[in-house]
Amino acid sequence: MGRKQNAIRRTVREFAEHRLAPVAHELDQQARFPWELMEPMKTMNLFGLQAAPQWGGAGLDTVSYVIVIEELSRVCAGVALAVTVHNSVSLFPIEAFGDAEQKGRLLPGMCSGDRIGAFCLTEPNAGSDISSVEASAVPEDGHYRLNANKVWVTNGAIADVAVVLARTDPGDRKRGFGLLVVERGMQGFSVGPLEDLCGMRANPVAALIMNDCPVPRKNLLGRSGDGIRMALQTLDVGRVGIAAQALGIAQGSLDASVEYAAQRRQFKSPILQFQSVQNMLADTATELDAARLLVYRAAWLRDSGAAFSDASAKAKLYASELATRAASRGVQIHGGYGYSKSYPIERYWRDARITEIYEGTSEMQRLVIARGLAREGGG
Amino acid sequence: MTSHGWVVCVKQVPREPVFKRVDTYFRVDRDRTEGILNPADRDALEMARELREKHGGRIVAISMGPPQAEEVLREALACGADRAVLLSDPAFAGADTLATARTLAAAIRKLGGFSLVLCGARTLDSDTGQVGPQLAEMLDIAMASRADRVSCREGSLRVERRMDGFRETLEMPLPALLTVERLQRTPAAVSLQSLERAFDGLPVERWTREDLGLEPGEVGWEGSATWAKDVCLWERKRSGERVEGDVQTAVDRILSVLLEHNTLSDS
Repeated sequence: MGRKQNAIRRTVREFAEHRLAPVAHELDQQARFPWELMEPMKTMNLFGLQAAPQWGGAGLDTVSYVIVIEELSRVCAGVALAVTVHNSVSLFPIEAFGDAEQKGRLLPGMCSGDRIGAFCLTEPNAGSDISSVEASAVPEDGHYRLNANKVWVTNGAIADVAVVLARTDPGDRKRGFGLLVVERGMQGFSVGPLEDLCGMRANPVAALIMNDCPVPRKNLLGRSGDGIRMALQTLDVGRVGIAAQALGIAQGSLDASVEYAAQRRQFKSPILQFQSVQNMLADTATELDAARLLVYRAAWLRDSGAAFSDASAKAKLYASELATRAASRGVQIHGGYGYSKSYPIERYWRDARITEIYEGTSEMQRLVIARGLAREGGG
Repeated sequence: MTSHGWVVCVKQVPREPVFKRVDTYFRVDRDRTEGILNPADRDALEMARELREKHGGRIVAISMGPPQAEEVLREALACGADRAVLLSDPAFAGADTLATARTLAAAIRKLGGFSLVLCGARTLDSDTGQVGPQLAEMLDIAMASRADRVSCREGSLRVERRMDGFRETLEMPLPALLTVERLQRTPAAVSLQSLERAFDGLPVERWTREDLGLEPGEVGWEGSATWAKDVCLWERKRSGERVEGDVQTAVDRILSVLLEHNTLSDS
């Protein structure tokens, strides 16, 4: 790690430990977003982490980005989720695929954090199978008439800008998709009730419903017909963020477990002295190092302009499954207290599980990795 | 009034406890530990920022340390400093508080035109609290320690500080030096954009012993008046005693224990 990255880690850790940690439990229990922390979060550029400075972004490289998400997740994964989704799958596709007019119109408000972003792919009948998306955007005079029922939308209830995958060419069942930018306030756009989730409760996940919503043509990103390609590219970027999030949860679980094991005494000794506890901690610490190397490698490959799809799939797969494992071991080390809401480890445990599911399930990551092997081995 | 110069002295301190990281001369091995910006110095920077906001001027952050101390000066730039100067020379190594103050004083004289020098009241590592007062003495300016609030009016400074059980307000002429107590509030969040710029663009000047016009015997190990003889772990021990018996016996016993530990004066 370079000196800059160390300084970034310290800066974010300071915010996470001093501002976020005191409210993390309450955010989880009340399932609310920390509006009271928006001001420092905006000042820190958490809503424009990798965007170019000309739009008000911090212009961080991906390794630094990963560090930011890791440090936030170490303390409160639900808030980290809002940050990584806003940056990696909402702001990123606009900056990467948008034209000059779209960028000038949308990015400054998003970078400043005045407008929060979401990404809408999943529908009741479409998830891993991205091509079964049914949202339809029928081209009409000057706009698309959008009908969509998008579910499990991270940041859904607080999003001002949503990047929506929809069928923009009814004639082309196979490739006729586009990415549309839908903005809060558009006619026919509404937010469904908050999802009552097991974890990540600080994030207002909700359904977004677009009912005959007229989306101006100037809100189409890139070209109609390129939607799937752009969405997959966006998910590659998003995966690195989720991998970083999982890494942070695993680190947080380990830190909490070591702290607890050092102070909890049984049989006249801190339980940290017992080999069975040590084994669990040593395994987590080792796997955490491995996960960190995978995640940083994926980030570094992206920074160097190399293909990183395979690396990000491996990073996300390994880190997310580790997060669950580390949190589960953490609960075990905490014993009965680990099952109680008086310690944060149960929150880590609930938060960890979804990282194996969203932005590509572990099964889909394995599929991506195996396809790569088949391509190489198959010649 | 001419433009203000707010000089903030910052120090890179080890994140880990110092005793783990000392060399054979009981000096902190600063190559083997992650250095951070001393928290009280961060608050001194915050105070300087407030002064600049109200009264204008420029903030200069200076630090004496090995080359890697440049890092905390870059953080100082990200926190709002306009200029950063690192005093770095192998000759500065091993300096005690006196040699450190002498080096900083030479640098501040070289900068010239300052209104106020701000130092953190204490450091995480050695916690002597001496550098600030020694520096004021060498610069021959007024000094107040442990300030936590400050305002500036017509060439003089109003300083508040917390004492045992009361608050004190002092008024002093400029130029002056303050050592700054940890502020009660959280310092303003640092933007990652400014960190990015501070690390990837802004300059940190480097001054050596010769730049400061100091003799080898005035700085570092050689210019020091004190040397550490030993460093050991200090363990905080609490012990209790259960006093049994009737009230009179118990009171006598408690009194004798208190007297034994000089907790009560015998007058």
